Amino acid sequence: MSSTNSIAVDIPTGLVQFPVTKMLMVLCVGVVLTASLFNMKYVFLLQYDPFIADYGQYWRFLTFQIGSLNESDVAILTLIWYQFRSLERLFGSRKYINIVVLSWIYTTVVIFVTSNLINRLLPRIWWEQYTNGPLPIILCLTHFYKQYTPRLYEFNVILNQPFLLRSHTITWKLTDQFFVNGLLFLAMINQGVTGLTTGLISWICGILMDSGLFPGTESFELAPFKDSWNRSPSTFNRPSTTMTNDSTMEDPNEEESEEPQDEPQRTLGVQFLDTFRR
Amino acid sequence: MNSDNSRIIFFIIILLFFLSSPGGDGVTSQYEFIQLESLKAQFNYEYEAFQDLTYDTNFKNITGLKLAYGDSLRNPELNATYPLPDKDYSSWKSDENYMMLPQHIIDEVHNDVWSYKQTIFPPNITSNLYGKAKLIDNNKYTKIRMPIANFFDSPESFQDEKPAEGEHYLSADERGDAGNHGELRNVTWENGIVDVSIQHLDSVENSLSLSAASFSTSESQFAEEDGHWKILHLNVNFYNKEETEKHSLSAEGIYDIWTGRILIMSQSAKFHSLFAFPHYLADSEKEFNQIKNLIGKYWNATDYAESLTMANLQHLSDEANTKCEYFGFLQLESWNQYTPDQIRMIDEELKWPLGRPINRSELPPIRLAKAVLYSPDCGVSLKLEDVHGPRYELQVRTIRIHLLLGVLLFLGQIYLLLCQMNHTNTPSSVNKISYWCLFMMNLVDGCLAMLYFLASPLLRELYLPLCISAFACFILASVFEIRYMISVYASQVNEQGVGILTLLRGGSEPSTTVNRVIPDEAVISSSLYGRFFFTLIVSIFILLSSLLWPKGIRTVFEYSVLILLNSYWIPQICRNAVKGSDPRRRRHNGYQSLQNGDTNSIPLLWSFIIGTSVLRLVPIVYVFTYPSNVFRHDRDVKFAVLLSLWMLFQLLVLYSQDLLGSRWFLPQHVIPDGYHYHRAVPQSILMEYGSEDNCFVCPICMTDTPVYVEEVKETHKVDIQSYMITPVKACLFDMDGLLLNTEDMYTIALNQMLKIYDKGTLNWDLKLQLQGLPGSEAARKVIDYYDLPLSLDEFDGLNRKHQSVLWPTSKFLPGTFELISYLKAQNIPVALCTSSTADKFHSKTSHLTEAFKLFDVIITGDDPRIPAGRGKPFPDIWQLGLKELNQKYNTSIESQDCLVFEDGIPGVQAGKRFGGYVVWVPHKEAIGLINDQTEILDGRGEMLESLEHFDRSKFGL
Repeated sequence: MSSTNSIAVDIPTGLVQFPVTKMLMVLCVGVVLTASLFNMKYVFLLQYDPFIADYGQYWRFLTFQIGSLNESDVAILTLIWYQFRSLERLFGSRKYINIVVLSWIYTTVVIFVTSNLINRLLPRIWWEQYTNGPLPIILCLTHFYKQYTPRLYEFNVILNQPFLLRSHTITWKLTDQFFVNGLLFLAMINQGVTGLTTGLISWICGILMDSGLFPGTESFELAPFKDSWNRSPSTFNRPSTTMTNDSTMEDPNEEESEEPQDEPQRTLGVQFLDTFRR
Repeated sequence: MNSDNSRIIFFIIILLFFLSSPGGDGVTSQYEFIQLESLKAQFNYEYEAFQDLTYDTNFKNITGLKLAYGDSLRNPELNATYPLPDKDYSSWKSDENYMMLPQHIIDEVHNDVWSYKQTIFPPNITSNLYGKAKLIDNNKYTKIRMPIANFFDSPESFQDEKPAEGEHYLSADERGDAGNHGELRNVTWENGIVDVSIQHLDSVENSLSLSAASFSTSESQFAEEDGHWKILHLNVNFYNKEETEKHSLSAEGIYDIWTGRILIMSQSAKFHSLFAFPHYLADSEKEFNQIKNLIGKYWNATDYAESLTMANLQHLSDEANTKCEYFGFLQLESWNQYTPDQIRMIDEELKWPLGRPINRSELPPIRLAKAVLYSPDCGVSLKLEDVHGPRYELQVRTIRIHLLLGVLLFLGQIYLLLCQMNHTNTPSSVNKISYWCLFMMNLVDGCLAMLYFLASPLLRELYLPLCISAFACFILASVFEIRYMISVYASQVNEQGVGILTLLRGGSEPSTTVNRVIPDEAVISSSLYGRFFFTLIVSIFILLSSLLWPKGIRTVFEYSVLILLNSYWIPQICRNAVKGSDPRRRRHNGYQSLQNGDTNSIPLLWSFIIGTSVLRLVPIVYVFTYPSNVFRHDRDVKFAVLLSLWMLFQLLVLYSQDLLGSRWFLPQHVIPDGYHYHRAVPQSILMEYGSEDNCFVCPICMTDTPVYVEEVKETHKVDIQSYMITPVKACLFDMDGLLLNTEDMYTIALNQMLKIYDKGTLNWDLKLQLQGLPGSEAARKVIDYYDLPLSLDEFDGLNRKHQSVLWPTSKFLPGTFELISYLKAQNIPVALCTSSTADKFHSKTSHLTEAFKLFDVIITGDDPRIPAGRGKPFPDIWQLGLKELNQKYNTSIESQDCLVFEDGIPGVQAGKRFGGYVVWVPHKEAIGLINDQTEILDGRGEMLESLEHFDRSKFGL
């Protein structure tokens, strides 16, 4: 079913080759779960009044992107992180994590500066609500996604029959990114007008980063970096080019051992399950 | 299909039967209906009277409030009736002539307990307080008589349709007589402990504010009241330290936020305290009306009288019959350090945490500055001291953090267990682990999981952390630990029914059962799961019921269970001792080249041992040493130290086993000799099979391996651990006198013959020489010895005649049949090599053919392959037996890997020459005559009294 030609564009399913995406998805869910266990989800909440205006809790600008308050946000954002794995494939894990961290920094700074400036200088406009969860980071990355991910296909859905020979048909152009677009829109609209505004600002941040006005996209280095992330997923010697079965997602290290075993090695997890199956 | 349907219908009927319950108010009979209606009517009537009550008028016809202390003081036997002839109902003063309290108490409350100072008090005081209770007086004050209406009594028979009218008193002598009430009612201890739990009746307030419009109260008044008075529900328990006498009171109270006063009054069938709040709490007419309004709203909002049920009625009646009524006057300590704004913020933050800037850890506790309890009908007064506790939300937060730390402990335990499981990944290493060690840990974890699980619906605020704890604990107990237990159990299942001595020798096979069914892992796992859940449920029941036991027994139970369940290394120590291991020194300089790593060391990882001990000890030590622990457990540092020392002792023993060998504490003579793979080689064997430079050819790697020989000095530098001598591979048996008691029959037959010729009985000296000889040679010897007047043929014929009568009665000697069956079950090739001719063999064994089918090879003395004149003591018959075995199984067993079982000296000599190790089992009468056994055996065998004493493990069987 998978011809060698299509491999060049197919993104591997699963997360084995996407350590950063995996980490981000796990964090997206795990952080929120842990926080709700400790009854500390309020650290992700940021409102200008009273937290900034009255209490001066500026640390909330650092935390508000770490977790979402709303469960549906968690679900949508996790799905988006999964879709964005093509970015990790494109940049390589190392650069991807750098860009993610950099966009966290830039969006936080930009949101902090603009909201404080607006609230202090413009008496008429009051920026009260902020989003929670990594929505700004995601929207910032969306620019990169749109910019660098090629469309696999697009097709037009003709919505009406032409009445006359010269009348226009109304068509609806769908691409393979339709799903991502929908998710992004949901993520923004889920947080109301604030989501849309913040999303827009973050997108602009992404454009500025890409264009180099916000420096660091090429040079920023996150100090502690695991060696295993050094390889880009696209540089893996992918076994699917030679094998036709479904075992394409196995660890490439294991593939190097030459002869396949007669009986697949049972992992500890499988052994546990076997106890109950048998 | 039909039977299925009927079964379903049957179950539905049973379900309906169990689920059927009376309607909402619990009324099941006409009698109860009238009871409940009477109660409602009584309350409604009294509420009407309460509506007429003003600041200046006295209580009228309200249950429990008919008598004042002054009335009873003047006439202690005065009945509580309305109206009393000379009682003033038209005015009210705060003294003992109007109140139910003695003047002394009234003065104390007004001057000492309640401060009336308007400062800042926390508006929300939901908390659990804890402190000391001190008895002031229990017989000084006159007791006010309080009647119970007769309609509260349950019907005496099914015919009763209507409850009795009127009321009755719990008179003093009746109380004394009853005995069981006396202790419940009177407080007899001096110093005790009190715990107070305070809840706000928020739901009431909400419904009050929601339905405020429907009442004619103005909005402003309501707001004022809302900020001034709060209705509380309090549970007060006071008991002595030994918990032998416990009093409890569950009552409504009203909290004055402005001055920090709290008044609580118990409510029962003999005291309707709800209507007494305005007079007893109010200080002015304005306050009186506010409180009266509040009570009115509470009445309407809860639909008080109409929502009464049979359960309420029963409760009121029980309270009246078993308990004293109590007034409680509490004064809160103020929170002066905060401004009202700060207090509001604290309140909001605790209720709905958003990270407002308050310092939770510095929040002062809710503390009662002063408090007095007084019982009007029992005349008891108590003083509460040092009663304090954190706000409920803070307490919940502390518990939450403790629970989550507990989850970390569980995760740590899971990690350690996984490391340990990874470490013991072969059946032989798993076999060394004690099942009971894991079982004890598993029991504790399972019980904890169950307790967490049971607690989760009870503590709504802690549902999530409790669920997570229960989950983590359950995963640990029922997945990982059980999984490990299954593999341990499976690896040890063949040891069932094996004596401890056999195990100490290193064997693992039961001596009695031959055809054991070894269950597979699925069977084991299902049986272990069954056992796990059964033990779990039983222990949970015991644990839960132990909470209700008297404190003395409970403490003993708790301490012994804790000690017992923390002895989980003891089974492992025993297991180590049973399995045996070498001291570390020997392991290290010995045979590392032969074995990968420390397979002979104790099987548990040190990180697992120490980690598990610490993880399991930390919570107990915390509970026993930290005075303000969340469980409010008594502090007992001594026990914590004792338990830690006990744990340390177990660890030290484990360490010493690792260091000195696991059997160092057992005396040498207790340990039976097992088969040693690492042993010295007898010189005779070396001479025969070894090479000249004291080496043997290793049959596996085919290289020359130097061996240790006791007699040869040069070989003493060879490490005995550097080679192994494999155990026996085949067994060869003689028959007559060894397996069967036929040797006795020869003797009997010969004796019969000798008797004919008057030659006495057979001499054992001769007998020993005859054994194993072919028939003709044996006959020649006898004829010569006794000088019999018989030719060889005549002798033979006569002998045969006598013997043939005896053969069919031959039977196995003790221990022989079992040994052969065992060897067969172990797939050890066995051969029978008898000097008897085929004819004789058949006549001797015709009635035992089933048993003799067990032999793989049977060689008789007249086998043509044995050259004439090459019977025992020549080794030919043994060699032929082994050759046949090797042919049958296509093996190449060498003669030195064989055991030869013999009873006669010629057979022993033949066995020695054959090259096997001889087990010599002479006739028991012959043993005394043999004085040169070492010479006969020549270090190539050993002598046994009977095959019953044969030590299988010594030969690796």
